[in-house]
Amino acid sequence: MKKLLNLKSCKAVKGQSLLEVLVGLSLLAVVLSSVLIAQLTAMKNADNARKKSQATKLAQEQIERARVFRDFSTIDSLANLCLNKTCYINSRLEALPVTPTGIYGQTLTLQTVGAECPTPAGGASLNPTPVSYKATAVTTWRKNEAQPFPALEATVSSCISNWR
Amino acid sequence: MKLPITTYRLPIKKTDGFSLIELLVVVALMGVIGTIVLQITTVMFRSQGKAELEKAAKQNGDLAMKIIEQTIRDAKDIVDCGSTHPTYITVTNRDNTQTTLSCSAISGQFTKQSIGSGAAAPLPPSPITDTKVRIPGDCVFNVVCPDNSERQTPKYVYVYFSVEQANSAATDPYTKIDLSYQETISLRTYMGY
Repeated sequence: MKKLLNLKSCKAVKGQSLLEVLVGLSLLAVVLSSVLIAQLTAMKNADNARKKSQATKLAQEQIERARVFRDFSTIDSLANLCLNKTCYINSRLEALPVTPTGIYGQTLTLQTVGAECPTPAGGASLNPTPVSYKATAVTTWRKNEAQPFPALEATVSSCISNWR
Repeated sequence: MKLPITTYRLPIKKTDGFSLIELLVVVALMGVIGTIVLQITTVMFRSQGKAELEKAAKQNGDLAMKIIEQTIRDAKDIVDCGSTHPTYITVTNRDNTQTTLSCSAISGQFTKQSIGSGAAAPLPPSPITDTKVRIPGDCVFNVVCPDNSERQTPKYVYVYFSVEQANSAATDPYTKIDLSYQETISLRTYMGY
């Protein structure tokens, strides 16, 4: 009975002070925002990792297509299009001087780097003359098609030669 | 003697109910919470649907690639050297029967057809992908026969195809599935060099 009477005179019961409420609220805000930031960073990193692995796969596919192109055609026709300039080999094995549209930009470049991709000693006497190029496939990616290409890229390189 | 229930009722009778502000705050809060729950539910259902489609596409693509790989790797020979991106390939098996693998943009499916060496009528092509997915008809079987005066390399086949969901009209990036498969497969038993 006494408790009920106390309840009736609610005005007399003292609640939390304004300071206590403010401190509580700001603590809650700090904790919640840190959780939110951690979550957002994790999501961004997961997205980046997915895109990077996809980009690496695409770059490896470019190198593989370059090899098939060499066997299918000749290394000279590959060099004509891709030596010291960027090209792109599409899924039908057509070497094009342009990169495809989409969120991934793909380029393939051949370079003559004697130190990394050497030709055999005394190769000049062989027929056909061995040539060796360093092929570098670079895939860049962006968030969506409207954005310009950022500096995020995956690079795969390998030697391509007509010499076994 | 008074019943206890009346003592409980007394303070309620005296209160004035909720004020307009309180009601507005409650309604606004319910609105906010409702919106958040609805958003979460929508995203959940959508990603679940996409995961199902992705699973179907991956299963079909993996199976098709496995069958193609087995057929080509175990083949005795492939005659059409240097074919430029046809959508089919015919290989000669070790028992001298022939198997044709093809993808059709019309049916949207990969098919496998075996032809015996005898006079028996060939079996109709049997699909190796199901109707949940379609192959958009841009598949490539490129038979590469390297010039063996330069390198001692066996014949190999460059295979490329992509898999999308059956209703390809969907262009919504949240539901669009487009998996691509690329592989080079050498003839294991090819002794032609």
